[in-house]
Amino acid sequence: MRRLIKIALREYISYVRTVGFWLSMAGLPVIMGIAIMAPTLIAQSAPTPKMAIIDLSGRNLTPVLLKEFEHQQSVRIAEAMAASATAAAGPKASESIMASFEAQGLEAAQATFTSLAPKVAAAFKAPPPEIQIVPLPASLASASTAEAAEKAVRPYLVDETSSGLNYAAIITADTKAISVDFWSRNLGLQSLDDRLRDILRDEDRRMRLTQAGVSDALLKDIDAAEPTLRLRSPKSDGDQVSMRDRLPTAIGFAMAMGLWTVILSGAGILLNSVVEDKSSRVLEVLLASASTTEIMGGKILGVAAVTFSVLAIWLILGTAMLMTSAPGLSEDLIAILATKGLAYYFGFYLIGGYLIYACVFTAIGAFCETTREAQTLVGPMMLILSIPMIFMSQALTHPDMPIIKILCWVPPFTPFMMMVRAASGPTLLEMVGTGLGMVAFIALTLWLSGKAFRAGALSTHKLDPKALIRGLIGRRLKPV
Amino acid sequence: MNTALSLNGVTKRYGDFTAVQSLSFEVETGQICGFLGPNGAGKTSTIRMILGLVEPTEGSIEVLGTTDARKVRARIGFLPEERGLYKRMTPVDAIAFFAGLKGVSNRDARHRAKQMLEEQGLGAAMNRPIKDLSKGMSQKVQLLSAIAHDPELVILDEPFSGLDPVNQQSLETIIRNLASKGSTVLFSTHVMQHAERLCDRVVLMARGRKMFDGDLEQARSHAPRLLVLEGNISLEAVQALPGIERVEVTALVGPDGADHVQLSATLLPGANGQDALRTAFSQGLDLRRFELKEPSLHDAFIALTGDQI
Repeated sequence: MRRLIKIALREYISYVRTVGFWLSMAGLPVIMGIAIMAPTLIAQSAPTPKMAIIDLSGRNLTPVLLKEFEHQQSVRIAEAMAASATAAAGPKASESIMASFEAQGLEAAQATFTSLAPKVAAAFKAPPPEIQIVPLPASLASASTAEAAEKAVRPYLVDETSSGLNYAAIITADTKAISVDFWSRNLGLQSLDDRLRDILRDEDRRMRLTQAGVSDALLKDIDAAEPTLRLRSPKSDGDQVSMRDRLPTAIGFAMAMGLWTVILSGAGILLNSVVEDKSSRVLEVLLASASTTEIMGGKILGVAAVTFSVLAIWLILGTAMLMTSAPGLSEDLIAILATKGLAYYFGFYLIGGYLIYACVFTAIGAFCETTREAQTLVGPMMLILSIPMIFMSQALTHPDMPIIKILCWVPPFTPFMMMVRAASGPTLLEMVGTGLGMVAFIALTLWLSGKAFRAGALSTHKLDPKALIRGLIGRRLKPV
Repeated sequence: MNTALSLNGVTKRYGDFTAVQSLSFEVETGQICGFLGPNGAGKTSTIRMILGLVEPTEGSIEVLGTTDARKVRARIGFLPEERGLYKRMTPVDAIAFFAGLKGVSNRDARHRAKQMLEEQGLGAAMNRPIKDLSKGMSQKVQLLSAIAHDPELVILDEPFSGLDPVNQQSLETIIRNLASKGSTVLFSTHVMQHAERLCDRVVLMARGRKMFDGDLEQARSHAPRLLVLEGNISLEAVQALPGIERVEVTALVGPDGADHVQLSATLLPGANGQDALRTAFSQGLDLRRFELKEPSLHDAFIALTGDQI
């Protein structure tokens, strides 16, 4: 044990002393921060795109479009307030704000926001409008046909600096339907054209129904008479499935993704470490000084300490940031982690998953003299490891799908698949059965990889699959 | 004298290939034993079996009183053929780390590391990363890592390879010091001169088999002694001298060519060179120079291994 600790300590110190360790320590929070802030910063800094509407339909559609875009902007502001309130006061605050908005409009939503999270509400900055409809330039206003309008629009969209126009919608209509030529400066995908089509379709329908003799009152009744849909589940804490009910599943998924990343990072570090020791012939010296179990154990423990140190620091930083910027959400998160036991599952599956993959990667490394050799073996391993990645996102929405349940019973996938499913309440049999299967598989992996490690560590020739198999089935030396 | 190391009928096979065949020998405590043989003779396989890194296919090995060397790892020092150290570590840290694995406390290990490095003239480099040291310096550090815990048995696999003459000399001194302190040293080499200068006994290996096991005198006795004669002499006249097995011309040494030659006469086992010389003088052979050459370990090795190399 003393030798194991000594090897682990050396391994830990050798990594902690590298610049890469500190860069990776600081790198993720910085990247995460940028990823979180980037959409907001881009939205805040980018000028609002401008659109001109050339309405040649004779139906006076511009006011309709203006009104609808104003409404959509209100929805966006309400949603932004709800998101800010979630961070500060939890998911229930968000639901209250949206309920106020739907019932009484933006001012009511603002009032609810202020009452639930006054500090955040005071500092709240509404998102800029997604689109600004601008008055028509003279040359466009005078166009009386679609062809003339098209000819007049083109120069405005070629050079942004000269006009500041990003979009132009030339609307025409005949007796059958409305047509829109939606002009855009960019060739990329637009979401605006779909929205324009929806607004005009609704308006066309309203006008036709009015012409057919349907009264405005009846139309309003029809619009108001949308079916009420309440999402319910026995797994929900309240009357309806709320955002808070869904949060554990999302957290479980995020934790499974984190688990996958952490385990793979640790196993990768181990692989490199063993390959380095093998190529520099240190491994043979170590074998003369300590048992295979001590060397493998020491390396696995040392790299685990490195990986878990990074994870712990990320968690501490993340928690501090969350508690500062989103105290409401952090309370809910902590409550979910504690009551649903996700933190305990995470610990269990982190240790289990790490041991499985650490053993396998260590044994592989012992057969490789170079990183290139190691990559040829790690390639197929990564393909296997991509399987849980494919199904984890499915487990988020369909945690009880048969294929998901089956994968939970495959020990190498158990840590990831069960972590995603942990929040959706798998049966006791599944929890205990898959857990025991994983523990048994860890024992088998430790035993086999120990043998392979010894065989690989002393092999001097190029990687030979036969040698690997011989190492696995050969006589086992009793550990000393 | 106690036996530090004993091999009894040890065989190691890797599939169809037999690396070591029925090997038996013993090394007494405090001896320096040379484990000699060309590349592929089975030296490294044997050393790995002695260390318990691989199990023999047949036979038994006893190291420091136990049949499982892994139980006495802390009492063994090992320098592998292919050197390996953590390149980013400093010499002090590396020596202390490996001594620590052998049970020396961290404080003692560091103290010993510094002392040994100073003694070996590496004091100035003790805190530099090993990757910045010369090859000779790194090899010295590795050797010190193997012996910093004062092992009872030191196994050195090709310790002289890659060292310059000065460092070879220095390593020979270290090995002699180890033996003088009571450590048993087993070192493998294919350079006979080192073994000749250092060893109390030698084990000669070729193609996985032991060709000889004994002290240097016994080894040399397997090689024929030579009587080198120079002068205006004929091959037939020398062949007729008593105790001569065969004669060959080794050089034409005189200014007049064939009249003045150097002949090398192989003596029969047990023959006395003096008798041959006395007869030569009594017969009036024109001798300018004569020399009775004792065989070297290299000669013994050639004689013992024959076509086995």
